[in-house]
Amino acid sequence: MNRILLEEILKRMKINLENKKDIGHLKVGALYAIGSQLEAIFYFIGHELGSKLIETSESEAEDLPKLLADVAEKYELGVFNVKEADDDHIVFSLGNCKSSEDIASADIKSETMFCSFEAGLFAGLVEKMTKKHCFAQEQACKVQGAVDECEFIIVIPKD
Amino acid sequence: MVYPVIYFFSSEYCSPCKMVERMLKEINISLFGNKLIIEKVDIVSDLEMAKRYAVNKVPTIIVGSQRISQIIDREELVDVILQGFLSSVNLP
Repeated sequence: MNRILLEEILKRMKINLENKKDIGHLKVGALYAIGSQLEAIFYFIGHELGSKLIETSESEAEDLPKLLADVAEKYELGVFNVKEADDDHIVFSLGNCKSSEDIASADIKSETMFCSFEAGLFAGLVEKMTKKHCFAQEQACKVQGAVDECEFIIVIPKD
Repeated sequence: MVYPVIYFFSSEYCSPCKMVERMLKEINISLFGNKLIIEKVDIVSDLEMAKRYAVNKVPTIIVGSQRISQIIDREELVDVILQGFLSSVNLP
């Protein structure tokens, strides 16, 4: 793995997000920096970025869904809508999800899910906020055709 | 593009193997969203696989061209997985 290149790409992803610019092409670059096994790799990249995107001071905040919605809005990650939230899990949908938006709009249907990058990203964000190892999973993807917005669950382990 | 499977060579009575297996599962869930493809190989019951991959000690993890044996550190294991994936990519 070219870790230097990956770090550079993550840095540029952050800058692009801060400047409200697209990062799609950078994800491909990151893939080349690491190798393949796409879903796992995109989750890993999303997770690394999520854990670098916010400052640790935000970790003390209690309202996780609101914080996540704010981060999603700030960096234009998509429209964050919380559907269910508890101490141990958050279920949410993401309108205009970057990974599936272009593909879904091109009328392509797939059985597989496309947004493991976003799953990893939100897992990384929650992990940074809670300081707990979290796990996120996409439950339904717009590309599959059954939903209008991609849906995710984040599982937060209890103390 | 061929995606390498992660081969985890172990044996039933190897206690470090159990520790590494837990570490591998934890890494898969926390860093890779439980999406890694891991194949566990018991070197006693599947001697052919052990011979094919020249495994003579456990635990051993093989990912593409990368391998790691015995004393396995978490960070090192993550690097081996990522480097193993890289070894499967042929850049033009």
